[in-house]
Amino acid sequence: MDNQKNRDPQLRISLVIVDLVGPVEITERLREFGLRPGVPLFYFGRTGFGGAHLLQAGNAWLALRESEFQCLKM
Amino acid sequence: MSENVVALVGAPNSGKTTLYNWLTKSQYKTVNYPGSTVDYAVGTLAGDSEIQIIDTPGTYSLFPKSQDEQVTHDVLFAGTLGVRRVILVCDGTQIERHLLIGYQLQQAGISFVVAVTMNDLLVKNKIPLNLNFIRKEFDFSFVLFDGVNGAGLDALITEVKKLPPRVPGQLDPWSAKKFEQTSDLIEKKINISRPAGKQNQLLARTQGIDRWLLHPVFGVAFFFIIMSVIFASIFWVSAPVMDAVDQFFAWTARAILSVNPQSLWVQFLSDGLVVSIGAVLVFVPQIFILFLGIGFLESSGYLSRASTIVDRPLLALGLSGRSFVPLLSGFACAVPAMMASRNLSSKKERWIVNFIIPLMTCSARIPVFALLIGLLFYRQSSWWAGLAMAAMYFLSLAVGMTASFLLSKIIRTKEKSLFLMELPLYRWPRWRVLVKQSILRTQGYIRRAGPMIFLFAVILWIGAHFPIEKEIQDPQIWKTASLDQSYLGQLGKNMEPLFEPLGTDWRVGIGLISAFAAREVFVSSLALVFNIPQDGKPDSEKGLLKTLSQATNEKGQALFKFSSVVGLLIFFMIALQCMSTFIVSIKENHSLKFALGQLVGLNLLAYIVSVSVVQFLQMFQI
Repeated sequence: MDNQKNRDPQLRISLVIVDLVGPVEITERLREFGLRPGVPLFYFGRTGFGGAHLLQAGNAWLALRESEFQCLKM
Repeated sequence: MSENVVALVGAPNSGKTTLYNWLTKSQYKTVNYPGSTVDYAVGTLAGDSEIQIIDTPGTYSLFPKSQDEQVTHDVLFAGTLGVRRVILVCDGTQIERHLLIGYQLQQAGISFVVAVTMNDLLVKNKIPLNLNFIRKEFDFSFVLFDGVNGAGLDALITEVKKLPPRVPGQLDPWSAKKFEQTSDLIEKKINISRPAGKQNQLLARTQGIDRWLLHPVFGVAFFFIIMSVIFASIFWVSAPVMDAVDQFFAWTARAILSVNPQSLWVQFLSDGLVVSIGAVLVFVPQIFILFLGIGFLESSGYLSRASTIVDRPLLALGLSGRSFVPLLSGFACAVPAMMASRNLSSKKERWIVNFIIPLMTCSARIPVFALLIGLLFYRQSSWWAGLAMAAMYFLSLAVGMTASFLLSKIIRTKEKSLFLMELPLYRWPRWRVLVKQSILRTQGYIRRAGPMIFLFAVILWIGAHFPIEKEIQDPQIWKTASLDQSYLGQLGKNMEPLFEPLGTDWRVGIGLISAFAAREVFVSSLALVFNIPQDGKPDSEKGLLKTLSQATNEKGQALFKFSSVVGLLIFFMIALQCMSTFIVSIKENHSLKFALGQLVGLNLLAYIVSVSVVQFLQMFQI
């Protein structure tokens, strides 16, 4: 997910969540959003300033901060 | 206690407020942004006043992680409101996730029915949600509800009335495993009812737009363009309407004065009331455009994107992207903006946001900024004034961000703030609703500011014309005092040393003091004070801008020089001159000390910074 690829508006990488690790308040919220082990998702890159990661999980279109994204092991 | 209290519960942006409006025939503002409702609202069911309906803030589960989610939790479990039935509102396009709360309600023994919303999107996109299948799979009761035309409302009310009233029990904490198992179960059951892969088409259009609006380079550029256009259009779009309003009030003042120019009552009506009220109402078109612009951002779905784009920079300043919405609301009014900060998960962040919200350019500052910017660019293209207005918005944001950075270094906590933002589907705003809501918000502004403007118009007019004495030649005629001999003039002159460092005189000082009642009163004060020439005869022929641009000080020099106007702009940008904000600040932060510190700190800072800037500019004879 390097910077060059990140600037490609057509970027769409298919991933699967293996595990959720990190602070409970974050992992619990991720689970409430349907992000749990075994769930496939599409990765669409990051916003400007090295900002949020854009993901599609099922029908949910989500933006996750780096520290939240790091809780997803894929 | 009544057993007829029904609470609307559901995920943020699932359509609860829309349903609440249909059920109670209310006109609460609905927006396309998660977390817009931060407090509960209570109404009665239209056509059956026995049943009370409570709209709660959105929550992703019944285990709260922010203050607004805690409100929903307390509505259900604290027992004070006597909730006995619940309508679980689920967005049909996100039903797999939104039904999670259904299992939590079930575990707590709460009597509920599921209202499936966003049906118009499902129908439009030909995505089948086979409710008959779903009903068989879950032992919940489901009703389809269309927020656009209200279809399904009667069926929903019938289902609610059938629910047995029950006192909510307890909800034990869920383990990670329980969350995952329940989510798996819901997804499995929902997927039986529809063909795989079809649902994703719904997102395709939104993702296509977001590929550009959230692009790491173009997204940032679009953000600045969109924000600049909205704030600059406050000037550009409203200019012709403002001219018309201005002319109308000038004509009315002249017409009233022509009836009997010698009568004190006629003078009061013409130069006291009409001029004062007109001086503020002339800015109403600008305020309407601001509300329309913010309303557009809210209902289109762009607000979540803007929050996402600014999250990283705000993080460096001790805030998060979620702070963007309360801060943006602060551009309309600080009172609802402080309440909107309840959806922030971190207490530290909430304190910082509430401290800097009064620094955002609220609608009350528009008349003041518009007048002062008008003076800076008098007789120049309105494009310059428009750009200067946009610059004031960005500058106030920059001051707020600097304050936030400093505060985040002072307040130390290990608390983690959550961002995780759900990006709603883009929707074209319904223009009729948008315009109606903007009109309602503008009316609210007039109602709030109106009484204060009226009261101060009376006080200032009396202060500026009294004491009165009888004419020597004709004892039938009362002669008013000249402005510098009047009560107001004497008061202003006594306080002049305070205003001199700002490059102004006592007449502007009177405006500055009266602005502590409401910022807009500054404009009406200047209109009233500068409309009275030294010979005591009013001059409603000239517009306020023209009068002020020609005003001179005692030395015969221009009073509104570049340095003094810039000083006033800075003063008004920083100063906290709103008592409603002060009171809400006490309530929202649960601290009088915090609110007092904010009031004194910001006003002191405003004075020191503006005096420093004026003195610096005057060194260069500007």
